Amino acid sequence: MYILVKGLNGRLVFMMDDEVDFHILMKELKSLLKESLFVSKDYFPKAFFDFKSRILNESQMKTFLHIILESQAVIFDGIAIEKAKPVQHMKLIDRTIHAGEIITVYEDTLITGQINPGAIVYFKSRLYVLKGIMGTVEGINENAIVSSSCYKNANIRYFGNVRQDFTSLEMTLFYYKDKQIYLNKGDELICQE
Amino acid sequence: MSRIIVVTSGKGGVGKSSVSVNLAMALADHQLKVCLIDGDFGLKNLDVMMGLENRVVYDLNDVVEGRCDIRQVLVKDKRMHTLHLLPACKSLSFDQLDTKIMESLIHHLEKEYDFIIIDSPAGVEQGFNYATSIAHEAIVVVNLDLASLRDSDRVVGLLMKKGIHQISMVINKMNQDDIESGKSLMVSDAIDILSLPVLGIVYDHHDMIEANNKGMPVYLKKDHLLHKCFHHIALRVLGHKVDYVQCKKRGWFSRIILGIE
Repeated sequence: MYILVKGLNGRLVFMMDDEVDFHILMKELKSLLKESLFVSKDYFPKAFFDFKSRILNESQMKTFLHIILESQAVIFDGIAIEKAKPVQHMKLIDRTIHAGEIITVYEDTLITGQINPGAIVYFKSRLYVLKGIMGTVEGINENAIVSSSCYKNANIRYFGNVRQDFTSLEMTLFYYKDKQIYLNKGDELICQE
Repeated sequence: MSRIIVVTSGKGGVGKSSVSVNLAMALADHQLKVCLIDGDFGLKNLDVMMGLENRVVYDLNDVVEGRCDIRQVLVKDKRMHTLHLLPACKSLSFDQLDTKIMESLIHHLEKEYDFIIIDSPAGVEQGFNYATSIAHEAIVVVNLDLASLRDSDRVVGLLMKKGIHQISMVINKMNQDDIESGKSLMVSDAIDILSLPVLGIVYDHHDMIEANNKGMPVYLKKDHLLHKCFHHIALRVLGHKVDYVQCKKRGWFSRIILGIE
């Protein structure tokens, strides 16, 4: 049994298991709605369906509604489903930024290479640099942050403020607050997050 | 369709021309048709380094002004029959060169040769632009000093901007003693800074200067260490996997008996 039915505030609440395969769940729902409890000529109970953490796609939603309509056994009173979380896209730059290159990134960005001396990266959101920052990075948004585990003579700039010639081999995150550049190192990063 | 490779560096004096000449020789030694272009118009030195100075009858200026055909400009190397040199000329500047002329020139050469090696001039000015605008691949020649690596880093960025993504580096004038004594940077430093694959290592050797002065490229000395270096570079260009040439140090006995620089 993957569906638990409860009577609550004058309506039936269908608690749907969120771990079982969707088709099995629908098969059980279909057979459940055919049971004598629901087959009545003059009484149609209100039914609320709780899918817990299951996320239904468009075709699954159609299948589900089709079963309810086809059964002619209950009055559909709503549904509770987990809202699909918006997918966060991260831009990937899978190379080193060489001297003389000037690039601007507007979304969250991961640079797998390094930012070499003489290169400038302007960032508007979150910037993560894997191999290290030896050049210049500049935040062009107050909420922009930059993080790397290796800085060698790096310059970090925000709105005219400069953290110059910064060197560290510890995971360090820079951010901008109250018109100043702040940094969090190592474990402090967890607090910041 | 030939492979067009530009040999560049940004900084002058790192050995672009030596690498170009010897790489062209090494490729021609594999019976491949190679055309070496002296990209340093206005100056010219590849013909001197290859010992072909006295055989240059026409130059690019004659082609531009219609006095001769492109085939008449090409100078055949007598030691490597599949190698030709397109010499530069001191009377021609980049202002006189039209990209259309260069494109038609390359179009003609592409049909004839397996490899076109372009020796780029130093710097990142107009000469560099000309040399790189017609190439498909690039070899960045570096020395193990910071200035060379920084300039090369800039050049790599510019090459990528021009759409050349097949880039490798040749570490030239590498001195094992300087590395061991900490005077020079290490190969790993070059890799860290440039993030490029190493096509080959060429050791620092006085014979290179002598060979260039005599117009007898060092590749022609079959038993020489540098011959082996360029032979391996050519093999890697051709897609073979070969080890990097190791420079064997002389023992204390031979140092005393033979003397060592």
